Amino acid sequence: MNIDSGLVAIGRAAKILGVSIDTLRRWDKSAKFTSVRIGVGGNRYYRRSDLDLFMNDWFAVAKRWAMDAVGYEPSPEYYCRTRDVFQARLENFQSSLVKNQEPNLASLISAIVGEIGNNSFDHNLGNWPDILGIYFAYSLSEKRIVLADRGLGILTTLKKVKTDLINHKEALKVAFTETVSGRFPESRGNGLKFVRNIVTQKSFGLFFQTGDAFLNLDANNADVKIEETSEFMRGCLAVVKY
Amino acid sequence: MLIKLNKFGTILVSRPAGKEAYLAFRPTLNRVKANEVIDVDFDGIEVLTPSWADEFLNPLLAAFKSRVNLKNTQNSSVVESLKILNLNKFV
Repeated sequence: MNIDSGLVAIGRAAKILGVSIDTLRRWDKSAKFTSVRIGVGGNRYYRRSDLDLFMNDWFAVAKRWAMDAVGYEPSPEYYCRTRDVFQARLENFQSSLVKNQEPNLASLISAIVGEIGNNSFDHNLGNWPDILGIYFAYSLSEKRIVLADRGLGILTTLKKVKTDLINHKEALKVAFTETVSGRFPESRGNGLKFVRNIVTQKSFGLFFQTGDAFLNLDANNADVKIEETSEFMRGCLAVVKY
Repeated sequence: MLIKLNKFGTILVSRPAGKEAYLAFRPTLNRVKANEVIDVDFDGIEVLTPSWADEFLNPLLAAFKSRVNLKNTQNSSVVESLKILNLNKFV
């Protein structure tokens, strides 16, 4: 029920955002996404403007989804539960992209998005800690793509074969600079090096976070400088700019 | 023998898809005669990743070695994928 035209009840807000009512209550308690209470102990309502802002900033939505302590399925529009769904959406992305970009550039952008997205499936198949699959959103006008997963993260994956890895920072560096795979003895491990080559050669931008480590890769950071953040994420979050 | 990769699709991205493509095509390779050359044609490929290429091309190269030629490899993602897999010498 709308109290006034600017407020939306929690059930409706949950549907709009594609999350559960419990998730919204939790976000409210943790001040991650706050509600408006009408009267003492009254029901929760949400400002329409807050919902619009929340939905439009899909980078923030992806980050929140990847970092939340409790897993939930994201909005169906951006959710690729299986690899088949991701492939279909990637094909749609490529066909839209090629209308706006030079074909060889479009091809490289889709290739790096495909590598990053499929990497999540390759390394978490059968081992997803809670929510299966990835978040995949893009804006052709902003020239930005976001991919996220709630998987095991790079450190856990690579530690299976490189047992001396001690932190996320090291693991992220190895993933982008060495040919090593968490799926030994299979011959793998080129994917993120390929991504790095394209991003640095073509002056694209890549933000990539796993655990408490992140990198901002571009033509000026071809050496892969890894930084740390206090915002921990078990899985991975990637933003590609072109 | 000519293998037209666009018969597997034009956006060749994931490892399972590359592996499945090779396994599905494997029986056809039984028809290759001794010393016959195998041309792998990339014409029409829009997007290729090293993951797909690794799963399809490396088993093919392991089986037929220098008899494999890679043709029409101008697409930028094809060029970069072959480069990172060190398969340029087969072009």
